Amino acid sequence: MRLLTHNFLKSNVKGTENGYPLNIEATTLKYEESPVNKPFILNLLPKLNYAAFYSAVQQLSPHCTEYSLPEIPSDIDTSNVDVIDEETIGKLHTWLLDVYLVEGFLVCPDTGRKFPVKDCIPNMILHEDEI
Amino acid sequence: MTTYRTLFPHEPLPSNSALHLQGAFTPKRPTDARKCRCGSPTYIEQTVTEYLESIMGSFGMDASSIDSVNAIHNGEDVSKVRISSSSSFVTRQLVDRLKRRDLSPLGLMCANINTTSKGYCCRLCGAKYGGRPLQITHVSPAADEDEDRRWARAAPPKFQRIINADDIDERRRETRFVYIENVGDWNVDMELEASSFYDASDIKKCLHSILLGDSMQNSISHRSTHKAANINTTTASDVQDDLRQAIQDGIRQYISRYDSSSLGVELYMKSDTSQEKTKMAVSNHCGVYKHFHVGMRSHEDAVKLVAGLQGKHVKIECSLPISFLSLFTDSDIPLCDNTPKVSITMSKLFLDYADVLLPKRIREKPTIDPNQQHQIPGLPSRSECTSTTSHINISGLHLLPNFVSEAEEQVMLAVLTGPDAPWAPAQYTPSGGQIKRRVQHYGYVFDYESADVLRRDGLSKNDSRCPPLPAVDMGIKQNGNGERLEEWIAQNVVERRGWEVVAGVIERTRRIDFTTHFKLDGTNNEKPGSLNDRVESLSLNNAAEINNDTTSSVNGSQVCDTSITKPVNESTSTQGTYPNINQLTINEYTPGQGIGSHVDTETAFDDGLLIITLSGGIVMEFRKVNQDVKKLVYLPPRSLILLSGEARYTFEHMIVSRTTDTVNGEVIPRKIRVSLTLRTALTASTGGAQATPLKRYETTTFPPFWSQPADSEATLGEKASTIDRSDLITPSTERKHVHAVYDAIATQWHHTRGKRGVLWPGATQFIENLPMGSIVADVGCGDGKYFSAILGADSYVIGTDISEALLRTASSAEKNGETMSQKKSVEGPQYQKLSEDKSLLSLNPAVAVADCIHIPFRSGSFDAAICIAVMHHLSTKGRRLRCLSELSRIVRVGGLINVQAWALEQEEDSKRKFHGSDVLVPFNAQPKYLQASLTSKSNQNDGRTSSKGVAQMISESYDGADFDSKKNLVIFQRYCHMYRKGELEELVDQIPTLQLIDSAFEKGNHVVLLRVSA
Repeated sequence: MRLLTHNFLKSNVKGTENGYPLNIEATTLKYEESPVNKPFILNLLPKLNYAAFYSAVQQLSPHCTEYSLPEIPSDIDTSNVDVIDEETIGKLHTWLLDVYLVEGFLVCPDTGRKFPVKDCIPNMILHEDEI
Repeated sequence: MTTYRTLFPHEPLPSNSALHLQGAFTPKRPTDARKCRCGSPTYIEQTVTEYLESIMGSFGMDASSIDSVNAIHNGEDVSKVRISSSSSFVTRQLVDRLKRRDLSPLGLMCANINTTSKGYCCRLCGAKYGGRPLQITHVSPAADEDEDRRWARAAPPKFQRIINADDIDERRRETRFVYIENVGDWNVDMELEASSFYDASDIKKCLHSILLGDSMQNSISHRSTHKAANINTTTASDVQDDLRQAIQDGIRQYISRYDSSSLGVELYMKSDTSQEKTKMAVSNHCGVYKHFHVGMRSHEDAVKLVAGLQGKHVKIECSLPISFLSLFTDSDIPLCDNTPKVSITMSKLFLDYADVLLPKRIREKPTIDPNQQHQIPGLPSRSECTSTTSHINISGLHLLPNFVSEAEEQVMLAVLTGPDAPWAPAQYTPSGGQIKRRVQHYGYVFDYESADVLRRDGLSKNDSRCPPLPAVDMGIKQNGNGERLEEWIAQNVVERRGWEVVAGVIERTRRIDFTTHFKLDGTNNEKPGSLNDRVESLSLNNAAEINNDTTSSVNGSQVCDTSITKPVNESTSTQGTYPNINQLTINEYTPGQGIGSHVDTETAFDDGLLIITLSGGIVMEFRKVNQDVKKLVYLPPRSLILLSGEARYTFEHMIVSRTTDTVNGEVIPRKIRVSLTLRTALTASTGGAQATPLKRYETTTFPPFWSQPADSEATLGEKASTIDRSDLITPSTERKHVHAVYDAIATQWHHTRGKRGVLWPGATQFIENLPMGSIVADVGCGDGKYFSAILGADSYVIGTDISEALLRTASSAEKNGETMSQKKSVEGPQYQKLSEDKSLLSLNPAVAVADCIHIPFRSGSFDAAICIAVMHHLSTKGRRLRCLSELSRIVRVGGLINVQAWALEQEEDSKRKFHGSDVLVPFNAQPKYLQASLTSKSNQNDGRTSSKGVAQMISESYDGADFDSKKNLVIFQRYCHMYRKGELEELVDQIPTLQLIDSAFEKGNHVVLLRVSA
């Protein structure tokens, strides 16, 4: 699961207020480099919840030291993407698309419910008592 | 000058509300002696302003809540006063208080406002003289009356549910009036703040007993306060009126959420006379507010209301009237804007369309145009029911024509075939979806697969599988007197309460004593009217006599003499009565539909099958088992037929599939026939133990629901207002016939379908038209066959599916060496623009296991969503609505959604043909694919098992899968709901944030294109 996907996921457990953003407990991560597609990233940014993305990156960084991944700015004006330089776009691309959570948990910030992630696939199914 | 008109009781109060006080405001002295009897000539004389001040003062009115007071002069006298307030609450409270007081101005002026005498007052002795009482009404500026939206004027018109008009469908499509029933079955869940004036728990108790049907006086009289102790009938009825008004306001306020105009809704609640009150309370053991009519401002609103509240618990809030509260305290309660509110939960509501009563229209009987009827294609009647086959003697077969009256028939049909009748398999029957005609079961489900009744052993209450049998109230049930029952039925017919009538007719059937109608030794012993006047008994030896009798032309259609049957066998086991009836099956036969020759399962049902025919008559054929004996019996509408003894056990009965019947030479076109089969289901006979009738599973709460009662709507969000909580939990049908199946067949599904890349046409175009860089949710993505198309359109897709196994095929597909470049070559130009970096995206598709009922995406985050071939696997309307509502939640305002689902109407050449909306569609699975899924599912497979063994193992491990040993296939049954034309649109219409852009029918699928609006 990429952080781009993570950015859209929320917890629907009964009793959550927002259920967003989900905290990440990583067991296994994966890094696969891919070519940067600048217009794609720029189109994407306005739809991103940057704060959630940044917080996710902070949670994963300690587990990714072996790949020496770049740091990203703590804030970006996603409404005005034209001023973002190529280097930043590259960094964002890396974290959004190239880092995968392979095994671990997504944790609901409100209820603490842990959604398991296996083989890059998060399981967001609720139990009956969570509906 | 603004003109005002009186507001009718059914209208909502306008926000800028005014009151009109009318009466003699200028006091007149007594004309005779011009003196008080004490001799004093000094009378109280005050100005209008002073009057009003004293009126206001006496009620503790806060002057600031009154906007203006206008006196209307008539000569020198002031006769009318108008008080305006911007708060309808204030005016309502004013009316409430003024009604409680002495309404003559002078009386009001006198310090003692509790006085009940009216009149002029002498300053010296305080003697009072007569005067005209004040009247008080709510008025509204008359300006806003445009023709289309005019309130029905004058006295509230008479309403009825539309149930027996010949243009019923047309009127249901047009009407803006809605009938709501079951309001009176309160589930009083009260929240009331404590106050220094009264004891909240005391009020609760009292309100509770009033709502549940106790009289006001009984409920109040034991209260300790002075006022409560002295309550008389008049006061009680006044207070009752106020209470009703308050409840009505609460209901109106609740319903107004379905009002798209700003005009408010009309509410017509029958004012109950005390006589009626008692009657209803006694006969129904429930409150007095049983049913009412609502006038929405448009038909669309009415549709939303019906759909939105059907079967719902509704929690209303009402402000308790001062008059009621004051019974609990001896001190005066000050008027303020925050009188205590109480919330009351109503039982499950039943709604239907209503219309202004048009007696002429109602009375017209539908006429059959023979010419038109003959145009219905179909086989002509091959075998006639004629006199040549007369003198059939089938022992134990008895027919009672006119068992049900026309009025009863209409009222019953209205609920049994109404918009929310519980046709299977909405009520779970394992194979119910596969029978061609529509059926409903009550009490116990008859399973067509095992040809046995599903007994409730070990079933939890929540899995009760079918609604309980409608039953009459205990009082009536225990009263052996048939008259009492008939009275009760008649009253419910008048009030058009269909379920009660169904219950009553069932009870009537239980009580019929056939021995009094048919003398079993073959001689006529009929006693017409001995049970009730509607039942005319026919007995067979006087066949000829009856043919010449008036009864031979019952209801205009000639009764074939073959319908008169004769118990020949004296040793017949025919019982007199069938008091243990505990199961009801309702069948709907459309013209052309029939039923195969059968004997009802002996072990499932006791002797005595009773069949009531409604709507259309039909010829039933009887064949003696293993013999060439065929006898035809015409079952006229509204008749009851008893199959007992030989007729039940040694004859098979059937209905031939055709569109006409020929009875005595007359061709009778078939109409829709609704039959009610009443049977006595038996316990399983094991170990030689005598089977006994199963316990009756019945209800007096209507409509009979079988699901777990939903939580009060108040606990759900506004958006989910039309969805029960029970809808959020996956029903076992879907678990077994959708989720388990896809998990099992995932590999084969992907290899034989997904990989071929056959995309549903409407979807491809939708995807191509998406703006570049769109974020798309593919809800129910399966093996992700649309992913490459979406990524190819330079968009990012996140897919969800309930089946993890299918998602894994999506993820693993490309890794198995099927790269996009290879795919390109086979798929053609469609994917040419997919660049290499996109192929990487598609190598690791973004997917999550999730339910489309709870989509785990943040709200408004997607530019678009597709939901293809998913909605037809959802088994309840609530779940379908919920899925749409979730889709609308995750997509941003202005974003588009493409939804596709299987259509009931398939094209001529299609392989798929569906016989009903809810069906099981088989999927033939090959064991070689299943092996993988079984291995991954459990580690039972030691690797040496033969493929045949696997197939068997699979079919055994999946509940509901069959094993075809010849072809070595495992046959899974997938549950599908086939959408009829317009059904998706109707669902969409109920989600306020979804706007229908386009709809289409393509390759056997219904497609809707939706836009999310604010």
